[in-house]
Amino acid sequence: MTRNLIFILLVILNACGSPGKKDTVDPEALFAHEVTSIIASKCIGCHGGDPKKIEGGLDFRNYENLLVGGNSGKPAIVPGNSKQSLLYQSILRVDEDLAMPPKDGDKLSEIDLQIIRDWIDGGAPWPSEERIAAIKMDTEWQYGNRIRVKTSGGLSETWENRPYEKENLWAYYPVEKPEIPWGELDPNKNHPIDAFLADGRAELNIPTAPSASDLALIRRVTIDLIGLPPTKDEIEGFLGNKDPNAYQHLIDRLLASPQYGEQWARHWLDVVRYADTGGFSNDYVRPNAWRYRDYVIRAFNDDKPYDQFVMEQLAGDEIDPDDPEMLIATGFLRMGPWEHTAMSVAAETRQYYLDDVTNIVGEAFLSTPLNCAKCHDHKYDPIPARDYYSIQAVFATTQFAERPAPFLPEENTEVTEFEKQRILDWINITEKEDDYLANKEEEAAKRWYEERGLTYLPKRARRKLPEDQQPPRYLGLTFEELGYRKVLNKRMQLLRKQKERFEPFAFSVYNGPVNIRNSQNRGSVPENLNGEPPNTNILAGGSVYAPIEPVEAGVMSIIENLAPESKKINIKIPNGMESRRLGFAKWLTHPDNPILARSMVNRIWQHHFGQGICETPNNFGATGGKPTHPELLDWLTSYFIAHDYSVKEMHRLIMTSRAYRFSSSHPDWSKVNEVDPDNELLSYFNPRRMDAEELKDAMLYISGELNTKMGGFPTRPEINMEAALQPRHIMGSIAPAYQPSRTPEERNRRTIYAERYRTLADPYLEVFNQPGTDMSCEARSESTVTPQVFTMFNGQNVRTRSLVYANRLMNDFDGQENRLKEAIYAIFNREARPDEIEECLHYLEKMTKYHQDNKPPKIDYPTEVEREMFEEMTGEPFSFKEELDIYKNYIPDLQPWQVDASTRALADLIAVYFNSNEFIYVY
Amino acid sequence: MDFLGAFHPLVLHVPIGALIAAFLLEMVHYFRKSQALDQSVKIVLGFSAFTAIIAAIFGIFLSQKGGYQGLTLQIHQWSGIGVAVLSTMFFFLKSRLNSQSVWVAWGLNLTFLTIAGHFGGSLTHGEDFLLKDAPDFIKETFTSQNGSPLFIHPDSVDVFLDIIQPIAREKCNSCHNTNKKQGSLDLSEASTWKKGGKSGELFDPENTMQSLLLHRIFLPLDHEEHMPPKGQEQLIPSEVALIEWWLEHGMPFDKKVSDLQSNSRIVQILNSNFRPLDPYQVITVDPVDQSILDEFRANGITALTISRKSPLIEIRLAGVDTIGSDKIELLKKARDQIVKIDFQASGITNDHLKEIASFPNLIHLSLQQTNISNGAILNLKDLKYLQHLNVHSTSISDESIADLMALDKLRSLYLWNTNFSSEGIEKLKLARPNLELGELN
Amino acid sequence: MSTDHTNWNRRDFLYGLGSSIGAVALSSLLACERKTGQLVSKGPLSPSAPMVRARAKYCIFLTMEGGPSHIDTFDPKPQLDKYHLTKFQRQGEKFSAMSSGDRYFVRSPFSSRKVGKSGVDMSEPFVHLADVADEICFYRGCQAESVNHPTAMYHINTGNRFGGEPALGSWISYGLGTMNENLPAFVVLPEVAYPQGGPGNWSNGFLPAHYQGTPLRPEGSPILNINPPPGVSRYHQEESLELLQRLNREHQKMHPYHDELSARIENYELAYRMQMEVPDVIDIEGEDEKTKELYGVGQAETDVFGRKCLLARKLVEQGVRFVQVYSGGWDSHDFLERAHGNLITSIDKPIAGLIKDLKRRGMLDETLIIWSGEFGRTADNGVRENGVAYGRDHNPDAMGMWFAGGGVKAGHIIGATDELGQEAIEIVHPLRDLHVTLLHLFGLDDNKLTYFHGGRHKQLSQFGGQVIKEVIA
Repeated sequence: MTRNLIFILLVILNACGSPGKKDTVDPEALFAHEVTSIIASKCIGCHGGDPKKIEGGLDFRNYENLLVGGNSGKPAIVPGNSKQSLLYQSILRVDEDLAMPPKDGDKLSEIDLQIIRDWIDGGAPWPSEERIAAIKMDTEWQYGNRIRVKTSGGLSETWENRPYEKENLWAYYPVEKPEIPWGELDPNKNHPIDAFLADGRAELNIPTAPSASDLALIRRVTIDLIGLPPTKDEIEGFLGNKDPNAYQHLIDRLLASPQYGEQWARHWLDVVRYADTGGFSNDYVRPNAWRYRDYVIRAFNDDKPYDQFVMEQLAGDEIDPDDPEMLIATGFLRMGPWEHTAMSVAAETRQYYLDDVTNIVGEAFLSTPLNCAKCHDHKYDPIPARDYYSIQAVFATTQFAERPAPFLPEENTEVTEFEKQRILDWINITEKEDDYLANKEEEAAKRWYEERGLTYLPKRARRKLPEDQQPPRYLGLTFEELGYRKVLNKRMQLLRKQKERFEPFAFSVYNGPVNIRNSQNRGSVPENLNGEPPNTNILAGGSVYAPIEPVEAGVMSIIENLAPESKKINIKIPNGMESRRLGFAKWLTHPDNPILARSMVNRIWQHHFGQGICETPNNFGATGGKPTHPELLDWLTSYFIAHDYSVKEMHRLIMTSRAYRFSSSHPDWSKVNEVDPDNELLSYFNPRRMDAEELKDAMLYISGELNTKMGGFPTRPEINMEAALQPRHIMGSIAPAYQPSRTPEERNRRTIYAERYRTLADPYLEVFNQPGTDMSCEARSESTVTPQVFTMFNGQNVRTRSLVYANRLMNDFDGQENRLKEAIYAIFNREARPDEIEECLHYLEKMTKYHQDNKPPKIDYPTEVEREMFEEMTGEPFSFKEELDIYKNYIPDLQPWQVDASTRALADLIAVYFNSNEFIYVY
Repeated sequence: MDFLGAFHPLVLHVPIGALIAAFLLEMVHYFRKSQALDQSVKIVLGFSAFTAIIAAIFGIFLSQKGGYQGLTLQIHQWSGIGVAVLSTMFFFLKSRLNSQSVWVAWGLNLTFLTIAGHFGGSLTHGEDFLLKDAPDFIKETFTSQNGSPLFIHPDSVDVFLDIIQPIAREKCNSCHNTNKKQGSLDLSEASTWKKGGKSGELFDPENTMQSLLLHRIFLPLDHEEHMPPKGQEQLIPSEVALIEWWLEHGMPFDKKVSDLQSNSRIVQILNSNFRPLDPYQVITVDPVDQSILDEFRANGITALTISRKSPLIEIRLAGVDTIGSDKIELLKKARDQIVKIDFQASGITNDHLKEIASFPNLIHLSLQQTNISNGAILNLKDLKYLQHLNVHSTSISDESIADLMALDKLRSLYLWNTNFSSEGIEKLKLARPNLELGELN
Repeated sequence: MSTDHTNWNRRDFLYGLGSSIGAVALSSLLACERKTGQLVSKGPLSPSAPMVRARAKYCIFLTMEGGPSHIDTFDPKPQLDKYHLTKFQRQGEKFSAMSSGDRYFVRSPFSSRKVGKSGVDMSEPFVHLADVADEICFYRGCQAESVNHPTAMYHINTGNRFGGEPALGSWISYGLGTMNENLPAFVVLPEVAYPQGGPGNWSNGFLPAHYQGTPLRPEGSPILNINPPPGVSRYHQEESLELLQRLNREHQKMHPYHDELSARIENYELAYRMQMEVPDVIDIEGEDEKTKELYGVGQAETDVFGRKCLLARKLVEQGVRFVQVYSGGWDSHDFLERAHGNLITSIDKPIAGLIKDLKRRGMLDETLIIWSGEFGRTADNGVRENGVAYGRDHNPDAMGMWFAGGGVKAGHIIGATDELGQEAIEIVHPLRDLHVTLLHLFGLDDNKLTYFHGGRHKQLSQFGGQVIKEVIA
């Protein structure tokens, strides 16, 4: 009797299924809670969603069909035996041809696979609708570590109650300041960061690298903070300094130097895709973009609190429209490529802007690429399309304008008379040529009227006349002239914009009804701004022609819902015409916002150690990297907020840790490469190659040519001559040739000040992985490709810098040996080795002899270039001469034929040093 | 003689049954010793020896009638006679053999029997009769599928080359081929089809349905002139429909399926079970080990498989001036898998080609812009899958016409900028009308 | 081609074509990309097998920038003669300023005739192309999405209208690598001036730098800086290289585990060797006169495009996977007869020559040729400057393109546009399906050829498409 009793008990227990424990999970509950949502999101699309088109004859709506199977003839489900079920085999993606769902991006997660397997092995029950509803009453259901979260509501109901793995939502939970895991480390002799890192390495007990030598350390710190190598005096000063706090003083000195802002602004400009032109077919110049670049440099130099820095960039015009700095800051909102011409459809270009600004705000501040939720609810993160369009509504009233903003005292508005005057000269040359052609046409028209005895009418007046009462179009002009006229009017547009550069305007925005203007002319804030604020709709598939339902300005709902009552930000975003962006900025910079501070701390860490704690700084979501040291990240974030969002404070904190001062060589390479190949646990310091801009600036700095003037109008350094004269196609014409600035002082500035065209990259920078200006760059890649060799070994830039530096060494030092020792110290930041000196002297001897026998050819700069293109209208080829006015009055850098053989030989040696690995890598 | 020969298939089953029965009795006798059993074993053994001799004699009669030859026939013939001889000797000497050697004799007898039986069967029903209808998983293990079936749109299928010739190869060529012309009719090639046989041309333009070919096919099965002859494998309905459809369009030899109107039935047949003879699917080899491909790469030989799941390999040695014998030796490591070699503008020579020609599964061979000479083509004659040969800009001339004609599987041959005379090319065109020569279609 | 670079300002320093540095291919040992620390030892450009057996191994994409009019080339519309110059109005939010307001129909200035055995249509300026009509598969059912040149160019070239994504050539080199690792996998022969949208049309986008299109310049240094600057001789370079490598090896001893150092050292060896190899690879002066004449090289109106087609065949013959050849100026809003007339003449003989040459060399069946613009043109035109402009505006809903070789169904017309040529009506496919079909011909599955970037598995067609089956033989 007792045995039957136990048996009955077991049955009951089994029937109701105790939730939570995976192994005795009742398959029916599993089906109701989990399997239905997997089928809905991963299968029904092609198998049953559209009754007319059922792929492979397999219909996931009816169970019998699954038991029989589709066209393959094999049963999709064999209850109780997942191995035999074709459904399970195909979602395992073992056989590539069978893999379901077809796209790699949609593959099922580990847990989903487990669920389907457990369900089928549990007999694959397919309860009725009522039974499913009953089971779903149990709301505490949880499978594994998956939870359900509430958002503002997905488009589809099944998406709404989709489960998420808890560890994928790490970035949306509020920041908790963790305890420092000191373990047996003595708190007052150790650094908190080292404690966290040591904790991370604990179980794998990886030995750590020794401290880097002082020599390596000063080179690493100097390039890291100001982007330039240390000078001989600075090195000797530091090595000689016995003061225990010498290292702290070094850091403070570098943080106080203005060049710190130039280096760290560059990282931010990578993220926001800074450029001086608009891209697309005309690539119109953006005359005042440079003021935003200088604003970012000042913000870093003044250690502007990061939350304020964010507020100003999002809503500076709403904070204080009379402060030029505030207007300049909103340049951030217009940094993406954008253009509107007669050829483009207004509604589409407007929507393109809104999508672009929403995504850049997501990537730059929220470390979440929002454009994934443009066409449908986000496939991996709890971000419904409704949230995407609510955030987009924050910018619905943002319109473009070049707003008057007097120059600030800190802004550098110097420009040479020549540079300003040349634009005015160009303008009237172009006007004269245009008038000549216009008169020629009018003369022909006059003759036409006289022949017919009609009264002549100027062009504007005669346009309305019927066809026979006016001369045929373009009468009197040859096709060649017709084509050239188009070139003239395009050039005039460009010159007008270049002239505007010197006028005090800010590349800014204002709030008002939709106002889309041709990007050719300067937009001012219209007088009357009243009118209904434009409404924003959720768009089906992201198409502007398919609105579903209107939404109000809002924020990321998941952040609000996951925060406990005490940490809810609950700032309501206004939905009127004004201060939507201010409201959003307040929500974003609120101390309880879990992402903003984490995102910036992660970026700072990434530029010190070469790799973020989360390796995808623009993507903290499920598909991004998981933080290698989550507690350390939260501790640093709390420290950042506690220290009033000071970036410089974070540098001091990070750079004084022992981990930052590890050597880049490790005592036990085999162990570390086997256990932690990517050095995520930072047991040694990652060596890195210098960025493109650092390489170029370092050579100018070493050769003594660098003009360290800060800020101001974009400069034009020398770039590869053939690329410079390469014709750039702009809407039916050719852009004027790229000519470097006239004098060395103007040209040889830090590369951050070089003018950045979207359709003409400096080949030198591009080949060393300077990111493009279309997409936000979270981290630069470091590839090694052959064109880098052509650029460094054959390129003119390295040759000229080497020649100037050689010439300076010839004057300041005597004897080739002293000179090459000086060069090695300046370029490799170490003393020369005896064997090296001997080899280099031998090389110099041979080269000097070679140069004595071979005089370098004298090369002059071209003063004009002949342009040839097909005239758009007639398809006829026509050519015209373009005068290179700057080259006509050009002050070139030092040229080889101006120096003697031994200087040229020394220049060759220096070029070899610049090409060597020891120069371009930082250890 | 022919008449008696015809009884061979009937008579031969008797010794098979008898011999096995004898063996069974021997087994039973082994366990439960009894004199009667031993005696009956001897009787049945004697009977099976006798019938085996008769079956052998009839078999010899049948083989004279012709229509069979080749290796399969020889093996069947000798093993059959072997059964007869062995069973008779065993019958006479059985009582004198000790117990072990009895079993040895039984073993010998039964093995010969199975050999004869199997090869006899494949003679009549075709080589793969054993596995043809085996369930999928068996077929899979025995015939390896390589690469997913290539989606060939029927429109690019050559009617004669890809549909009619494969049917003829399976159902007619065993009796009608170059070296055995039953009724002096050779159906192995376009030109010989046209010639027809002893009883005249196969196709009658005025009255298609009465054409000799269709007439013979539609004769009742046991009619003496019905083709294929009784006892041989018959044409299945879809094959007959295709031949009829082909004749309705005037038995063309240079047309693609898309050039003929095909009714829904024909399209259904083409889509479902008629694949043109695509060597990529016929060649079944095991994949070569990755280390060999890496070794190729290390020695400057570009090598990769034709698709990620296929074992077949393409080799590119274009522009490599010195093709040393070391490279050729290396290539031999994958000689069965290599289907394509590109020697364009390389240092390949005639005697290199001798080695290369030993690669059995070559389909594409590019020799353009090299200094191979006329002797080269001869080496390629026994490549049974070679379909594409490119010799443009070489010194090949009319001398090689005969060798080229011997390459009967060729579908494209590029002769531009060679020393071929226009007559030579005309000759080739006449002999091989649907050979792609790189002229504009 | 003068090789004297000693004097920068020589008179014919006419123009340069290439600007952005191309990522010239490396031998497999050298290429290395630092991606999360692990060194990709097998070079990214080494050849790899397609997913299924490929019908095409090489591609020559003849890009007619500006939008050639399908009505005046391969899709004649006799109906238009009836409506010639009849006026009508068009308004609507979906139309750009340019294509709204008062319009009028414009008939084709060219007559058209059926050519080849397959009887396909060709307008009369096409003389030589008629000889190869039976090799061509005309497709009329494709539809673009954008009305604007740069976004439409980005769309057909990279699958994404807003730029920043990898070009078709980059995706194919990413999928299959190159058959000759000392040459770029993806080469571009641009027009006098770059097409609208600039180098973004052949950018590697988020793919590694090795897959970027390499623009080759017919004059001056083929690849920027490939020739040493004036006054630097080979002896000079050898001495410097020797010293450099000694310094690098010395330095490497101190950092044995820094694996990029050896890659960079070997990088210098290869670059030094390539300085000689690349120039003669692309020298077409060596071709025989008859072949040059076949391509129209040396004849005034076809010389420029003829050289590029001949160079394209030569590159494909040596294993370059994807060559894109540009012909620009097709944006005929006015003077259609003159503009299209001149342009058709400039490409007719060279393209016919290319097909004949490929066919006789036995290369056509493995080389896929595509001829297309970024969109078609409208049957109507807008009133401009008070007169009748005999031209057409941009039309994304109907466009004409054709393919040859590489596994397509030769001598056929697939799909159709309505009787005025305004909209595709038969076998209609969006541009992304064209991309999926092209990848399919190369044995690649668009759903499987993905790259993880910005949080998702990105693919050429953006979110999948279908193969246009009718086009495949």
